Amino acid sequence: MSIDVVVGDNEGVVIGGSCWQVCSLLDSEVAEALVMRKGLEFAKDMSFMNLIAESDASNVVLALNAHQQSSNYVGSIIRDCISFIGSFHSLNFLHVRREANQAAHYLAKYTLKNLDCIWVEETPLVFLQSWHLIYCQTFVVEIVF
Amino acid sequence: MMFKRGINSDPLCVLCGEHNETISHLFMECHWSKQIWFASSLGVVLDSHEFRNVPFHKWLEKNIIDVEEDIILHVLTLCYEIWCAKNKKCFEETDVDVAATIQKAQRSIVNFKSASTVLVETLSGGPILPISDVHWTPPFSGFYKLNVDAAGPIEVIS
Repeated sequence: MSIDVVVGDNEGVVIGGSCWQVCSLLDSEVAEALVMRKGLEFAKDMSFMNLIAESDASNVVLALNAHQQSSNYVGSIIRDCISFIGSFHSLNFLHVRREANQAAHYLAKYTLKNLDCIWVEETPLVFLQSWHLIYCQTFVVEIVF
Repeated sequence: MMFKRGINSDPLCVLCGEHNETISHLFMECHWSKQIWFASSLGVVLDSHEFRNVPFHKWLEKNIIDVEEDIILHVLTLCYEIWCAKNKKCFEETDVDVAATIQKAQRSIVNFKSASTVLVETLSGGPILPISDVHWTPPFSGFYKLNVDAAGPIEVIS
C-alpha cells in the first residue's frame, strides 16, 4: 500500500509532494484516512497556511466535514486530522472525483514500485507527466517518446 | 569510413564493392542501401534527382525533424539496420539479404513500440484514465491545494 500527497498553487504549479510505503495495510478506508493525515502534516511542515485538501475518498471527506468520529481505527485517524484544523489559517476538505485527483493517483501507483520520497519545489518526471495530464488535459506526444 | 580512420586497408564499400565507402555512400548512395529504402514501408526512391549530391546528414535532418514520430522511428531503425548489415558483412563476412534486413527492422519497430507503451504505463502507474470533463482546478490565489490518494496492490475502492 502506498500513500501520496501532491500540493499545487493557484497557477497550477506543483509546490511539493511526497509518498510513503505503508506495509501490511489492506483496508482502503484506513489508507485514505492515513494519507489525509500525512498530507496535513506535510502541508503544516511546509507552512501552507491556507489549504484546500482534496481526496477522492468520499467517506473520509464526509467524516472530516461532519466531524464524525467513530470509535474505530479510522475514527481515531479522522480525529487526528481534525486536530490539525487549528494549525492552519484556513482548511477545507473537498471530495473530488478521481479524475481531478490524478497527480496523487498516479504518484500513489508509482510509489508502489519505489521508495518513500519527499519533493519540494522540484518536479520529478512522473509528477510532471501526471500533472500535465490533469492540468492541461492533453495526453498526446509528451509521454510517448 | 574505416579506411579514412586507418582501420581498414580497403576503401571500397563492403556491401557493393564498387565505390569508396563514405557515410553518404553507405546510407544513401550504395545500391544495396537504396534497395532497403525502397523496399521498406517508407518506399523512398533515393535515385531521384532531388536526392543527388545531398549529403547524408542533410537528408537525415530533413527526415527526422518536424515529421511524424512513426517516420522518425522508421528512418532511424533503417539507418541502424543498414549499419548493422554493413558490420556483419565487414566483420563476419556473411552476406546480408535485403528482405531479411527489412524484416529485422520491422521487428525492432514493433518491439520498440510495445516497449515504449509499457514504459508509459510503468511511469504513469497503469493505463491512462480516459479524458473526462472532470479535472483538477487550481485554488484561489494565496491558497494551496493538497491532493491525497492511497493505492494498494488491489485497486482501492473509494
